[in-house]
Amino acid sequence: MLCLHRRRRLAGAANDPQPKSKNMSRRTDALETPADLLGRRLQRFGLAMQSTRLHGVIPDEVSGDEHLELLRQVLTTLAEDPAVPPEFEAEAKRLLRVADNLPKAIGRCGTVYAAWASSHRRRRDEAGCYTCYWDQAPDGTPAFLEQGPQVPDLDLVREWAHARSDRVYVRPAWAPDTAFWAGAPTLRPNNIEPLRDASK
Amino acid sequence: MTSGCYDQYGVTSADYEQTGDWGWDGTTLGLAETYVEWTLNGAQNTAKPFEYHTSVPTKNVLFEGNLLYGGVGQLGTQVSGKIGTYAISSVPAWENVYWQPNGYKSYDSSKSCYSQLDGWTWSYGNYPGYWYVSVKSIVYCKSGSAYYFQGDNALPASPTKAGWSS
Repeated sequence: MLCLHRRRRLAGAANDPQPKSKNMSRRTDALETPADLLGRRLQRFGLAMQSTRLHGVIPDEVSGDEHLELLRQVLTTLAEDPAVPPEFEAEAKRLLRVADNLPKAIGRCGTVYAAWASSHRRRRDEAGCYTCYWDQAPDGTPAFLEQGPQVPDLDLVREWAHARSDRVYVRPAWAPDTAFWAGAPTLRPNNIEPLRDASK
Repeated sequence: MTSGCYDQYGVTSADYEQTGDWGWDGTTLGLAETYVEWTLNGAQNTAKPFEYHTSVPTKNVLFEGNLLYGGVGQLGTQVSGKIGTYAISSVPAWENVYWQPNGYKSYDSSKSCYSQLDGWTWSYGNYPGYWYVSVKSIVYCKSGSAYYFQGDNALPASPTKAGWSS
């Protein structure tokens, strides 16, 4: 149940200045901080344009995944850029693998929160769905780890959650204001009821 | 002249709807309607739908989200690094447009109470400057491991603004 706390760094990383991302977490340790360090090394190597592109898609604070697709695109470009030396290319490819599978890089930990969201002025083309995210607490200070899928299927939400944590709160469609426990039974807080199927 | 209304649905969902004329030098140029709905989940607040339309074609439409910490009756202090924007270059008259694809999300859990600050700005024709509308969400505070809205009268100070700026 402990989070992996991987610190893979390129040679010379210990001498680097403070990374750009201020809210350090297992997530930023895995992705944004090493991406920032890669950008600094590209700069030092004289690849200023590539460095600027990479730094341009790393937010100061990681409290969402809105930047992730752009980061993937820039890392892909770096990995295919003939001007980028092999060691940096390898790091770009490694970071792409991290971006594609954050749970593998971070390890199971923290808490997943899922809630049914259904607009009270719903657009005709839009049904309600679950919104969910993965938080680092209590295995460290609270910090955003990953945004989950927005889907109407609770089973998919549970599958996503259980791949990341044993602690899962769900506010289901049939009781959107009430949090239920969908995590490991032994970890259930006393004041939270276990999640049961709505039909039962 | 604008008017708006907050509604809270349960303790994790609330919205704000605003309608108002906007104009220049005493002349009404259009009617703007904005709408935002907030859903709390853990320490995350999702503003969706985040919606805008006006009665005339507008341009440089900018949706903006931000996070303030502070309690009821307080102006709130900006939490650094939380600003988000979504831009649309032009919007036809009466067309509803939304922050796509998933609205604005704020996340922070270092403080006990927050309000999300959401806004819209737009320009029109050859008129200078831009018009704006902004709204702060109902205050939401931590209880256990999650945050909950505090009631539709639990507003920060200066909860809404509208006007023109150069």
